[in-house]
Amino acid sequence: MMLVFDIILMGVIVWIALGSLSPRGVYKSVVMFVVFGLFMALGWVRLGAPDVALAEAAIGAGVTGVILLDAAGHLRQRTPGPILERHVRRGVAPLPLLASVIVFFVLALLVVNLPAEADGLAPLMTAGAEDSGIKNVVTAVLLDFRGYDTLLEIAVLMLATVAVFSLRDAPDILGRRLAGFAGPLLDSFTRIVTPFMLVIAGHLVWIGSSEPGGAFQAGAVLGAAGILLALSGFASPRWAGRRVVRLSLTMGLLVFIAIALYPLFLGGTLLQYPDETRKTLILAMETWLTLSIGASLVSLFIASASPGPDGGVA
Amino acid sequence: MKITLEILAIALIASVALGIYRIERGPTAADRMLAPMLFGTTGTALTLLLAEIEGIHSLYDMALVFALLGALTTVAFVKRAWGPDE
Amino acid sequence: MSIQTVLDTVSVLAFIGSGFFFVAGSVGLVRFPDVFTRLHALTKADNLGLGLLVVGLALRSGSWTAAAKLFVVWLLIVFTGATACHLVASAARKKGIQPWVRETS
Repeated sequence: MMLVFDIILMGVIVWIALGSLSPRGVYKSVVMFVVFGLFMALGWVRLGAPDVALAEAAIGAGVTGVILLDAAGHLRQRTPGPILERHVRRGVAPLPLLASVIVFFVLALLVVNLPAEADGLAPLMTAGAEDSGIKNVVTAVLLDFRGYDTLLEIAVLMLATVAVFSLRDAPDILGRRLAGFAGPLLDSFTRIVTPFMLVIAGHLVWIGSSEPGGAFQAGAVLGAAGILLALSGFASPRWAGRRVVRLSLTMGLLVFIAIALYPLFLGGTLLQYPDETRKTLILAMETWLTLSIGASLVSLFIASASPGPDGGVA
Repeated sequence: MKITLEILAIALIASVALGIYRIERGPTAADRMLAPMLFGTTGTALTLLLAEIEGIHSLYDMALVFALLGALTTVAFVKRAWGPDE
Repeated sequence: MSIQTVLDTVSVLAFIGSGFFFVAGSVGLVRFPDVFTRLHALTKADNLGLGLLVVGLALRSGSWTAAAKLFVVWLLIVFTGATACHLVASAARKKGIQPWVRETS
């Protein structure tokens, strides 16, 4: 019975994906892309990957959607009407489509021909996760078995933020106000919902060790809270000066590096957490990572958003 | 009993697929934004349903995230993306 | 007539009602003539569609904490949905989008 559901879901995902590539108007494509993110989250749930589904819903549909909507709005103010049509060359368009279809069939063939009994690395992971005290295998893989990858990913996120800062010349990033007072409804709405979002972010970090959750998902919710504040015309608090912003952006990476290097002093290798303190270390890392990811996402949005009504285009 | 849940899930996703039509057509930008708004709610409902069908109760957290992010997307649309109408 | 059967029946009824309102919301989205009426259709899905679904799921859940969490999700959707719809509608009015008026000729 759920097969019917899955078929409809797959059809809708492909339909929306094609729709978001259509050249008929930037705005339509952006809205399609946001909806695509939401449907993909459902797809991940059906594939048995609730962690990825959480991340997709929070980042793919949430933060990325907001950044794209902002960009689309900015573009429409400057060049009304569909702007992509002029730039699509006729003969080139079918080639990527053909390449995608070929890749799809190759992958489908490979998946279908996998031996039915092969569990792959799953039993090893599950056993290892039990030992480490982190019951959520995904978190164990991300921060323990493949911690090095995550370390580099966080570094990439930080570099991206720095790059966006340099493009926009935005040293005083959180001091910019994107909007004035947003009206009584939106203002009260934000005041009520933001603490709720913060609680959910904390909840996701805490249960990330045993249930779907973790630093990325929590960081995305935190980023979403910050973006909501910015959109609703809340100026940053007095204590969030330049230094605080820079600290919050970098602490995640620094803590991660520190914890990665720590075993070297105990005679182990990089990222080889000692068994007794493993869970504590990972939780500490996750907390700081959440903060940094949240700060990065908010900064990415504020830095790339065009200024509000108080000035021209910077 | 479970069959009721599954049929409901199919009904929900079919009805959302209908809503996508509005993205294509809706004359104003607001009309196009209505589909993500609908999908935020229906997505939350589907997440809760799938949590029940598959027994993964941790998906209730994802339903919360869906709800919050739907609101954020709408706020972003109203404040930032809604330029002169097309 | 055990208590379990009663709960099951009520929750099935709730699910059917929920499905009806969700489908009605989408049909309204497609068929109604302007932005404002479409927003109206959306809120039906928000309030009643999700509300009945939550009732049905809560009756099946068998624990107060799960039911409470479901209820919180519903409250959140109602709250954010109402705010979002108001924001869109008032911005639409400010932009001069006129409500649809039935032609009387």
